[in-house]
Amino acid sequence: MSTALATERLGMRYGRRWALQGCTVELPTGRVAGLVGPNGAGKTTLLHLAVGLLKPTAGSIAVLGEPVVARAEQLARVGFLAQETPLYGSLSIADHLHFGAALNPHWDAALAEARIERLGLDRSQRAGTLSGGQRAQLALTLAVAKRPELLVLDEPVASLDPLARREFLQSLMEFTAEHEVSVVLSSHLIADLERVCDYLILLAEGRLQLAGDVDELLASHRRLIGPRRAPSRIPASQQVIEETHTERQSTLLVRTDEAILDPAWTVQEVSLEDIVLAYMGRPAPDAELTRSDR
Amino acid sequence: MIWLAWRQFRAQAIATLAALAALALLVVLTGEHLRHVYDASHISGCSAYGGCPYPTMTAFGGHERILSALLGPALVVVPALLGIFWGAPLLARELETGTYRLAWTQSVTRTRWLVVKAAFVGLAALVAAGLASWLVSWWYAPLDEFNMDRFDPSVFGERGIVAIGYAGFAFALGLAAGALLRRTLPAMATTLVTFIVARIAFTLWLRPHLLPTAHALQALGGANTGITADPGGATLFATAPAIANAWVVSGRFVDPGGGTVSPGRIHHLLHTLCPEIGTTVGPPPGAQHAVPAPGGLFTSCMTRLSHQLRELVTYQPPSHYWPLQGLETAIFLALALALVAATVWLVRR
Repeated sequence: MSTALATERLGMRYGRRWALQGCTVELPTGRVAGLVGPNGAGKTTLLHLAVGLLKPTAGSIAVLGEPVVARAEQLARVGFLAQETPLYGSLSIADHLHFGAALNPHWDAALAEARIERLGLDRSQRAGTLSGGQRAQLALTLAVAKRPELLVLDEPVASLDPLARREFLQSLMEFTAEHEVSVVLSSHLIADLERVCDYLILLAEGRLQLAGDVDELLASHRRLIGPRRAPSRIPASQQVIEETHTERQSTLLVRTDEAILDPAWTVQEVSLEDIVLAYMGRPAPDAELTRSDR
Repeated sequence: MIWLAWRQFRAQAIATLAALAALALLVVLTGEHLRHVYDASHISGCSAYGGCPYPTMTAFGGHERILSALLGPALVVVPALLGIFWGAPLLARELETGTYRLAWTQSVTRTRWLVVKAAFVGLAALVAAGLASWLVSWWYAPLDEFNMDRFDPSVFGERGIVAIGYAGFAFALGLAAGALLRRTLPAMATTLVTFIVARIAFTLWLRPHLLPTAHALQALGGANTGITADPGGATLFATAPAIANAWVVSGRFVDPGGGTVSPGRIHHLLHTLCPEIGTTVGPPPGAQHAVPAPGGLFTSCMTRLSHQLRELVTYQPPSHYWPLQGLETAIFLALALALVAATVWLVRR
């Protein structure tokens, strides 16, 4: 199986602070992966490492099967839409298309023109005067007309209103449906990710908390509600991700590959948002490790 | 990539071209007039050093006074402006506004991106400074021929080819400051301050030693010697005399054989050979400036002193003018290349 993105104990340090640490993840090609995590979790750092804007302090990172070295051929295979969609404010839309054509050997001019046409944008308009939604669409046009094999998007919809957000994600989905491309998309709007992603990568405090196929994650997580019981009395096959107890009742979010047979539990399916929130609230994996070692 | 370099530089290039065109118009119109006056006044055979009939000299020397006071300093400013407005924003603006994330994730390595942009704009800076300097040098040519002072430090940087070196250096300085500070305004300010410091330091400490100096032993006289009236008595001091088309670096007293003379001995000589000077030059209390001694007294004193003292003048001869221009330009351009290389290294990290 070929990988779109593969990291091995990847770490990035700014000064004395580790923005990303011990991150090992493998994303198969052809997937649309959502990268989630609270602010400062290391999402942007991971994406910048993937597109070669940063060099890792520790570990290694590879995209599309080769280590990230920011060579021209590799840059051509990866499309990137940075946070806050940077564009040259004084340059017109036509200039931006020219920019893309001049700097990318595989530039798909027809695709770019068609997208600008469909969006109803005036080609002579300066990028600085575009609305947030239009900026994002222009930036996405630049990224996709490069015809990348991996498309990396850093919070592309964070600043958009709900309508623009939906239109943007629709454009993105159209492109991924038409072309064979892997996507990594970071966002903290889980509802949006749920609609477009089939893979989930969750970071918190610079560490990888969870990575996996969305359907598998949904299938393997359950909420159990029942009479209060101590965590030690949960079977080992059920990994407790989150627990809340009242005087009489325990509510657990567990990960298990087996069916829940205990009749004392009321078993509920969980949403992707439930899973994400449960993992975000959890202590970092190695902190947990040291606790169980004791 | 060339297209991008040009597109982002277009507005600045047009503005600069317009400014150069305006300068050319001004220089050609007034310069032609200046040449006309120069030819008409028949002074091509004489100079500020003499040989001119007095009215001619004042008539020509005072011509285009305002413009001659402005054009030279304006040329000194040109490289600084290029560094501030072309060099500093080139990287700093991309880093500040975040567009570097767009530029560096296209299918062009950031090294190539930077090298092409820096080469394109940098070479344009050299050309712009070269043109400006050529215009200004042409304008001053008759005045320089008359004043014979183009080697003087106050004029040296305003003529010839050194402005090209300064422009390259200022541009690279701006580029490096932008990469280091990542913000446009601080990069601009740093460029200006560093450029001024580098220019002054070079002029004061490096230029005098680039080529071996020539020496001349001169008899003491009004042109190279002065007397101060200190409260403690009169003191003899050496001034740098003017030598046509040369750059006089320094002047000091030696004995007739060329050996060093101690200040004490000079003091002693002055007071024994010219006892009347110390008393005649009645020192106003606290004053410490050159007081012209009464003409006859001063001249006879100098004649007497000349048996014991000479002034050793250190200077760069006129033949060193173009070698020094070339050397200074080359050094500043080499510094510029080193700065660009350092910036490339910074950006790759």
